[in-house]
Amino acid sequence: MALYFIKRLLLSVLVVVIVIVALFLLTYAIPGDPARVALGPRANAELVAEFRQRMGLDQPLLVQLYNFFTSLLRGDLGRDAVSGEPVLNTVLSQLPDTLYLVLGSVIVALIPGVLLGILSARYRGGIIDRISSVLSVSVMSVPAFVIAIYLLLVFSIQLGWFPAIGAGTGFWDRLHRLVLPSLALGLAWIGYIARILRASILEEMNEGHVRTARAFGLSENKIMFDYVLRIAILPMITVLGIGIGQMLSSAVFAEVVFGRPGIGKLVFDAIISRNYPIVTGAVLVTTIFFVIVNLAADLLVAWLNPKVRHDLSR
Amino acid sequence: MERNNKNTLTRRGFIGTGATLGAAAGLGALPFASSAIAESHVEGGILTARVYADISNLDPAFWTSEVDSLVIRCLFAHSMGYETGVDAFETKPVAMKSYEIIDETHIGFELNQGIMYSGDYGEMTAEDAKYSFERIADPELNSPYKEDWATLDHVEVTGKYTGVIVLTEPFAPLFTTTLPGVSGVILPQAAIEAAGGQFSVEPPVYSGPYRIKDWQPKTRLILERNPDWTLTDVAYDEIHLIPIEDPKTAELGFEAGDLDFAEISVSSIPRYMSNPPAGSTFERFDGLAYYWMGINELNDQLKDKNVRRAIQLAVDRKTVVDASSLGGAEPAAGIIAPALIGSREANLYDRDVEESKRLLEEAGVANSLNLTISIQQTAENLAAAQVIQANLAEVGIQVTINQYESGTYWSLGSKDEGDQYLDIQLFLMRFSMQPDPSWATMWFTPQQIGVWNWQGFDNAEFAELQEAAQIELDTEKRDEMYKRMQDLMEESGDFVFLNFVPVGSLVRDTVNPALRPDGVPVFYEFEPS
Repeated sequence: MALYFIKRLLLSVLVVVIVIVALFLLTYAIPGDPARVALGPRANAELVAEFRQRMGLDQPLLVQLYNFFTSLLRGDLGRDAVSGEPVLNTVLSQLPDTLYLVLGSVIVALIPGVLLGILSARYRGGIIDRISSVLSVSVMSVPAFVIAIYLLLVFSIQLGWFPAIGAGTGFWDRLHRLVLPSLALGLAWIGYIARILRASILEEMNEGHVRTARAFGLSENKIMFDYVLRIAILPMITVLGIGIGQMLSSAVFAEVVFGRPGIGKLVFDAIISRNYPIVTGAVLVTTIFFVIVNLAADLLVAWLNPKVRHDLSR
Repeated sequence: MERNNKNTLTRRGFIGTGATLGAAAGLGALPFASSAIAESHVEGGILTARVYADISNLDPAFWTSEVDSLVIRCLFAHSMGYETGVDAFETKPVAMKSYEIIDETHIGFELNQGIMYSGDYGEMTAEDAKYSFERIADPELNSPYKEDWATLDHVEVTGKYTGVIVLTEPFAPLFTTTLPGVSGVILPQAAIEAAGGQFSVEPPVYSGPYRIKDWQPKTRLILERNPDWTLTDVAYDEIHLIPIEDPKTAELGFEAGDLDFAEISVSSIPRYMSNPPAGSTFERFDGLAYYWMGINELNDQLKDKNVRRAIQLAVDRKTVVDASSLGGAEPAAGIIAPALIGSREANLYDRDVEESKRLLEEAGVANSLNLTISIQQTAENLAAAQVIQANLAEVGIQVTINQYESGTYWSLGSKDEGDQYLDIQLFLMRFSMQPDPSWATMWFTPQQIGVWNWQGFDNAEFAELQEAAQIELDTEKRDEMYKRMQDLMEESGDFVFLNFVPVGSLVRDTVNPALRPDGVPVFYEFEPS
């Protein structure tokens, strides 16, 4: 298990390095001048050149890349090209709002998704299964930003139940403002989780140990929760690990539509303004977060699944 | 509620008003109408307003956006300011109590007493004015705004609160944009030096009606009342500025009750004008920002002036403007708005499809010209480009619309990005403006080719006029100069002037806004209604 952990950890570091190198290549390839954006239209050529030199933008790509990684080892992500503030501070100030949003979306997706998945499998072919099937496909096919706009129009503008913009201050205000964006991001995942869990449960129900349990006369509820769900839930953990990555990338829509701060909006704005240090810093932090979540998901599956655990211990 | 702003700000008019008041007061100087230091009254409350971006630099020598400028106005005492709630651009006193035109290159001034800096930096004095003005003009600092003090020789301090601005040449924008603008901010030398000579988003000192209470980048900026400010009344305890780039999001936020004040998108102006949200009013202003189609004469296919003229003649400007603003704007006759001197009344060329076809035939490109029009990815630009595409198709020119996100778009005409500035052909462009005509024309000189002059417009007379108009103090002569400059632009075949960008703002009924004639908010003057 320890060896497995070390292997996965090394692989994760490699993923982060590849992402950063690819990002550097991409930002180098796209046109646009951060110096002009940072200094405004009235900056003369001399000032622009001085800015590029200060930010290291006049250096060859490989030198910039080397400088970035050496700074990174010192825990320095550079400085915001526009405001001059440390990138790490800016990114860390935005990260919590995105994490709250992703967490809220996971809760929105998970609770009804698991419930629907269990009920659909338990009453296979019944009315709940059919409704769940239709709803799942319908919600999955609507983009998050469309859901976001309709939620806003109905629940903020028409009914006035929820605020339309911002992340709020204080626990209850933050929670209140989190509801609609979380719904916008999480709704599509309800159906996805429900369908995966349903399929996994049905597969597990045909396994020998379940038949044996039935033969012993155990109740269906006991079989479901003690024997089936423990194994059937495992594929969902992996899917959820990937899903969190998807939610992180979709967060930008919710953040723009709901006028919320967050990493997605930060990167979006930074790309527009060619604020490369912010783009690189924010992508690095989210990549690390995503890699950690996936690593945790893999380790959790390995730990929960007796078969995998057994394979690894040999 | 619609506001029409058709008056003009002229230096002569401005000085004339001051002189009359000065004479009436028998002071031999030019006092402003109201310079008494007022007691701040406490009404409390929070004003929540949308700004289109976050702050990026609050140093008066290095600010970059209109949002920076709005915030700087709240944090630091300016020499002068603009009147709000009026139809014409008029200036008023802030830090400067009075000024005196000694001659065309010597302007005496007196500061209000009792303007206190935060911390241990004491009271504002003429030494601070000298330092602040000369700092921006200093070539070594290399401020992007040093041209605001282009002809400053030095500032002579004559007393604790008095001094003389000494110019090498007369400078017309001094009273229209320099002193009332950000370059007129007065800061103490000790504070700036303690900050290392310049600063960005953490001011080392405050001298204005508000100070920063809390800044959460990209989230909100909270300004709180500055207890040391006694120059004017300040109504709100706090101003919360929320950066929301997308105007549609801001509109929804306002309708949901999250904002007290929000500038909206141009395309929403007709809708809100006829039907503002409950509990709010809508105000429309004629903005100063200008919108036009550029035609790049450096491009091989557009080198022939007849071809460019044919394009000018083919475009139906009224339809283009209607499409892009959904009826919210009218076609413009130039790049200088009607509120300013130098504004033209009519274009030199109107739509003439037959003449356009004839010119294309004469140029040998009838029905064989394929061009591109480059635009930033917005609904307004796309609508305008589609009409232009249809107009040009009528005369046999096929146009492909290329849409770009803003970062890429703004690099298209830049020499620094290689030869692509020669490849760009037609493009839609919008520039912001300050209330002096020199701000409109300064981007089209030969030196700006490959920087902001994407048309490649290269006219020696224009360049000479640009220089001359800056030092011309006679309003009528200046007016003629700027009109001539726009004539030259249009005659070159490089420009199709489209419209001045209207400004629409939603204001909660509980708020009495303070807006400049061009709709720009002066937040520290907002009051509960």
